[in-house]
Amino acid sequence: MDKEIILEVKNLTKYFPIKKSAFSKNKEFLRAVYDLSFSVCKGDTFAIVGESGCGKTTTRKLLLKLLEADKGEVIYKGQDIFKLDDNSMRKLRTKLQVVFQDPYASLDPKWRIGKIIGEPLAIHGVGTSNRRRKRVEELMALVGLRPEYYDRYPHEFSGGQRQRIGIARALALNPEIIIADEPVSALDVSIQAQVLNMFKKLQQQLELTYIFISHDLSVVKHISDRVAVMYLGQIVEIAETSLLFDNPLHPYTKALLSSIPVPDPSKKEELKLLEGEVPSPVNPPPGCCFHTRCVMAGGICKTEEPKLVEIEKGHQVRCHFTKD
Amino acid sequence: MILGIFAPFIATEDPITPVLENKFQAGFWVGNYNHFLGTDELGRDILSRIIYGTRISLKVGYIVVFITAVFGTFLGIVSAYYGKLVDLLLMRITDIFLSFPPLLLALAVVAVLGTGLENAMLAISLIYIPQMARIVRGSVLTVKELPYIEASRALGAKNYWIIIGHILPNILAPAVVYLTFLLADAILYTAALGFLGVGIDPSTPEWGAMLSNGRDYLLIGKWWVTAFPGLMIVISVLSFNLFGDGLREALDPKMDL
Amino acid sequence: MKPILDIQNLKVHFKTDAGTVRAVDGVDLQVNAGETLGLVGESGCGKSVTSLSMMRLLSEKTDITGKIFFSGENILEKSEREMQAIRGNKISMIFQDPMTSLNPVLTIAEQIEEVIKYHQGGTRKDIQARAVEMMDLVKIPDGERRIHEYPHQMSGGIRQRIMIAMALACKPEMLIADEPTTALDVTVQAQILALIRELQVQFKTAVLLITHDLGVVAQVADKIAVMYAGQIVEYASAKELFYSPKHPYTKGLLDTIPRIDREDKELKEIKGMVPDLSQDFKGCRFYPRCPKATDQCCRKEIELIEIGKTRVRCLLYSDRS
Repeated sequence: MDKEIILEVKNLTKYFPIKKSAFSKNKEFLRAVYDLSFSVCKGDTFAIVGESGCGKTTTRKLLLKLLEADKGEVIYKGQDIFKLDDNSMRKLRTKLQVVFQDPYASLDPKWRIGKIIGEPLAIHGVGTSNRRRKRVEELMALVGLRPEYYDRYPHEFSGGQRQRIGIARALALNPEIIIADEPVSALDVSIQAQVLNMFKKLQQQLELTYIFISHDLSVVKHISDRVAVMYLGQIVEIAETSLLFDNPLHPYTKALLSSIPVPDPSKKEELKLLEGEVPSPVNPPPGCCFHTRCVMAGGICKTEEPKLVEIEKGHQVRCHFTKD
Repeated sequence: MILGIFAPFIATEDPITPVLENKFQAGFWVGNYNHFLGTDELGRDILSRIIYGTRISLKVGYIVVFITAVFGTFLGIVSAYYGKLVDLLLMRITDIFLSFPPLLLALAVVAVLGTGLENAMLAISLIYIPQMARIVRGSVLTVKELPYIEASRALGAKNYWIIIGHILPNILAPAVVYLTFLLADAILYTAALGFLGVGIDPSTPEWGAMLSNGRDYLLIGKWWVTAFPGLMIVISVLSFNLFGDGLREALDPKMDL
Repeated sequence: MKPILDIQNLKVHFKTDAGTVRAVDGVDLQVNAGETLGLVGESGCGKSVTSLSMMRLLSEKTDITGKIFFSGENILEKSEREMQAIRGNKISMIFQDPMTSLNPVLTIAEQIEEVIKYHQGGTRKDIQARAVEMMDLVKIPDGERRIHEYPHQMSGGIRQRIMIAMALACKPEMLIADEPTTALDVTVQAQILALIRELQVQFKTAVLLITHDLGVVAQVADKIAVMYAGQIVEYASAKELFYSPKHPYTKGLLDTIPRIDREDKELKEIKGMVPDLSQDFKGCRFYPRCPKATDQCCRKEIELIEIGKTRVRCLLYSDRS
């Protein structure tokens, strides 16, 4: 099953400088993303999972080149996006689109939704205004919005509908890859299913590739083909979805999975508690980033950084102790 | 609430030429309906002068507001959007201007440029541009971080597109409210400058100047020469302020920020 | 055994420019001492309004009818002064967002001590010691030192623990937790839920847990009430609700959530949207979205029917009561 690789990320690293005070020469650095490497196959849904502070948002911004990387490459169609000039990047943006988490803040409240969905077309000067309108109506139909809503404002819609507007906007330029950043987290449970099903349907219809960022493992299990688990800016485990959920290897992944409350009252097992808190990314722990909370931590974990190692086919773990 | 909206005056057409024979006539309270509010020391009808004065005050007001709006907004946007060094520089400069007591600043400008209506307008604008820039900057900073701005950028929008299409419409509400208050203030400052005798040349019917001139005649009992221009100032400033309040209330629920 | 909390036919109506919003329109529920009741529903269903009315935290202009009996007394008839003696003391509440629930300019010590001082008094030393005790109770490491820090210096998980500390400082008989873990990471959520369970057992506090997360409620609640559009549509023991759900909305919810313990090809959807609460309803409020709806359903108001220990508001069961 050799699928074509559409996006490849290599050793992506990003630090944010934090000044102690306006006059201090002493700069501290916040390690947002460190040595991130993964590849995404065409037509797949690749999920990035992690809790707050793990670097998901920074990753998204880097993939969209809304931030410059300190190290590493993001290779799309053979080119590193960080080496592209502005014009080439603009052209590339038509192929790489994004859907945001917050359906309330991701649409300009002063714009009518027809204009919002058509914005990408207007920015890139595609077609005449008539043709654009037609295209927008097409897109609206695709996501299940009635054409008479064209002239309405965002605040007239519910969360689920606004999310659809955001998706229509992302689809306007026929992208190949869509980065979805927590697209259903802010929605009601009964609407989540609608939107997730629509995601799946669109993927098949339009041959889309998704990079799905989420903290919700249940959603991720349902929708993704491959999953990468992030902690403190690094990928600690990466595998095909079924493999990750059946056989999690990294202690953090195991803790994450067992923390999820299952909607089954007879499975009231003690949620395996992960003690302590996430260390500050300003001074990440030496050695393995997880060792401060790891039940399996040994001496080597405090001094040496583990590398991402392939344990079984397609399943990589960053841990000194995975010899199972 | 909105019931404070006092419709701004539109000047009517009465003449202003000095008519010396009618010196110091008292107004309607003694039954003089020819000169409703009486006449001043040069015999000019006070009512007409006040009405003409409206034109001047409003003219100054609107022009000041316009200049301030344009420059203030421009500076505010540039400062907030391009950030870092530009922001630092512009903010320090505005700080300098803000640290002067406003009237002093206006006087200083007029002292340098000379008296006259245009210079008065420039002076008053100069007081307010820094403040406006600050306010606009604040709004822009907030809006700038919102996801829909990032969305536009991710779509490939260039800076000017984002500024004009997205940022400007969303900072309009607080800016407009500020400008109405500015109008009220501008009228006040025009009067202040006129009062001090630096705004306009003495024969033009400007409220502040009239107020100042009339002071001398209070002691001889011709109080109306001062009182009515003064009253006019109070009414107009108050009404614009109330209008601004009402506007703010009306816009508030719709303001997303 | 009389329940410690007995809500009877609670209705909360807000008069707005757009009409009367019937946020809560018929809620009956009971919680026994030491028990946990989960109140489940999506946004706009009225669960938060229910809890706020229990604490009498709604504005005076709200139209509240019905009875809320706490320890035998009707809370809705009490004066504000009497309520102040109850809040934080006999009934405590913790909220979703610990950032805005804590005063940013006071130290933690000052905030916990305030609660103790107001309701229980004592010497300064006593109060301070008790506050530190609470920090230990909620398992905040290094409590004695950290109690002098400010909220912004702490993470969301710790702040929520502080909220719990403040809520339990006076050993209340009832704790209302309104979406206490929704804003927290899943690993932190697990910690907080375990903490609440532990403390509940220790203090024999009754807990009303409000959430939209069915997973959370399955882990923590003894009994569950499902709310939809301002009404309770199903009320049953946790096991009963999950293994034998009765109301079509409950079934819909259970089918629609992605689950980590199941393989789902496609998530079943509940079509349509949550209704606007300012409209005049005729009959069942779930009617437009219900896969089992019949003509009868929109004719008249549906009452809560009792089937054994379970209650359902649905005509499908009208022959079984």
